[in-house]
Amino acid sequence: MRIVYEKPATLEELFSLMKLLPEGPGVKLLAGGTDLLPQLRAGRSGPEAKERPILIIADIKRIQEFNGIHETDKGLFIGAAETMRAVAEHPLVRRYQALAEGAGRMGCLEIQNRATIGGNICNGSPSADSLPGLLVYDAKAVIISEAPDGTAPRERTMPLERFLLGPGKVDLRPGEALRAVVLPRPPENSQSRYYRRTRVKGMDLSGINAAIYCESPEPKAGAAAWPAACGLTGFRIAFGAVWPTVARARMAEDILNSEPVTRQSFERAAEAVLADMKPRESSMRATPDYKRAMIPVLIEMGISEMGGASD
Amino acid sequence: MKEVCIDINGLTVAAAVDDSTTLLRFIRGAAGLTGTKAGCENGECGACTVIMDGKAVRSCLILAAEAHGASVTTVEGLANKEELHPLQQAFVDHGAVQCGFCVPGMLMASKALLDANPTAGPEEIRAALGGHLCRCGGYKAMADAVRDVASRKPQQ
Repeated sequence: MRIVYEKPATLEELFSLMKLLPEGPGVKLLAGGTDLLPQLRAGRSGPEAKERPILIIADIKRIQEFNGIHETDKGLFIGAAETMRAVAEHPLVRRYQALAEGAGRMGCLEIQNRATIGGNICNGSPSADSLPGLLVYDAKAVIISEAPDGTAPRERTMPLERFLLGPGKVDLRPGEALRAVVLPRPPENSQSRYYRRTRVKGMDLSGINAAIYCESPEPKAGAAAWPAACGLTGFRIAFGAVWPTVARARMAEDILNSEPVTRQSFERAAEAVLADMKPRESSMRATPDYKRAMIPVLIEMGISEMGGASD
Repeated sequence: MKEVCIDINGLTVAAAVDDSTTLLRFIRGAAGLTGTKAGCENGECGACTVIMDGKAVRSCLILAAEAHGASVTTVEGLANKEELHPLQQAFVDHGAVQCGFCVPGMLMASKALLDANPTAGPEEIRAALGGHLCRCGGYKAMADAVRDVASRKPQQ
C-alpha cells in the first residue's frame, strides 16, 4: 500500500479528496498523528485502507473550520484539530475543569503538543482521557460533510455520548468529519474533577478513568463537609473503561440527585454502577476486579474533594 | 514523493522523500543529523524528541511532509560551537549521561521547558521529562541537572 500525503487548505479540497470511489484510493484523516502514525506503521490503518493500493492521508490541521477555541451562543466551541495541550491550557476551558485535567493527563507533553481532541474522540478508545470530562459537560459533536449540491457544507450536531458507538467506532458516515465539540456553558456554582488510574505514574493509558461533576447550591459557610451531608447536587458522572465506550453513569447520578448525598446514597450509587458495568475481561491495563474496587473510590474522591472533606 | 523543506538548526534542508517518511528519518537521513535517536519509533520512549516551532514534539510521530516549512531544533543545535549549552554542561556536571541514548530527547524536552518557563520548579521538570524513558535508570540526575539550570539567576 502506497501512502500519499495531502494537506488540503479548505473544506472543499478536503471533501473532494474524501469522495471515495470503490476502486479508488482510501482516505484517512490526519490531525495530530500520534495514533495514526503508529497504526500505519503496524499496518492497522483501518477498513478505509483495506485492499486499496493507495491510501491518502488528508491532513486537516490547516483547514480553518477545524480550528479555534471560542465562546458561541451554544457554548464553548473547541475545534477538532485543537491540541490536547491547547485544551489543557486554554483560559476558556478552565471552567470545564475535568476536561482540562483529562487533556493535561493524556500521554506526555510532547504527545499533548501534537495529539488533538478530535483524534482523541474519533479513535474511539474506551478510556480516552478527554471523554469523561466532555461527557459530564453534555458536549455535542459537530459533524461536517459536503452539501449534496456542492454549496455550503452540511453540519449535523448530536450528543457526543451517542457519537461513541463502541471500541474504535464512532458515528461518522462516509464523507463526514468531526468538526468540533461544543460544550454548553455550565452554571457558575458547578465544579468537576478528572481521575484516572494507570499502571505507572508516567506515560500510560488509563486502566480506568472518571469525571465527576456537581453543583453546590450555596457557598457553604459552616456547612457540613463530606462524609456528612455536604449539600452537593446535580451530579454527573462519566467512566472510561467500564463500558465499551466512555459513558455516563446515569444510574448513579439518579440516586445521588434524588436525595441529599449521604454515605448510604453514595454506596447505593456505586453499587448501581457495579451492577451495570461491562468491563472488557481481556484488558491489559486493569482487571475487572480492580475496576470494581476503583469505581466507589473514584466517585467518593470526587464527592469528598468537591464537598470539602473534613479530613 | 514529496519535496520537503525544513529549517533545521538554522539551515534549510530540502529533499524529496517518500510521503510516509517521518520527521525523525528526515533529520537522520536527509539532514544527516544522527544526534536525534530512533528509539521505539512508536511515540513511547521520547528519544526522538526535537523542538518544532517552539514546542517539544516526537519526531517519529510526525511525517516529514507535515513539517514542511517548519523550524526544527535538534540536539546539534544546542551548543555554541565548542561551548556546551548550559543544559548540556549541567547534564555532564550532574553525571546525568550514562549510555546517552535518551539524552538528546531529554535535553530537547528540557530546553523547550526552560524556553517557555526559565524558572521551572521540580514538578514542572518532572512533568516535562515524564514521557522520557532512560533504561540506565538515571532519572534523578537529569531532573537535578535541569533544576540546576532553572534555579540560576537569569543573566542580564
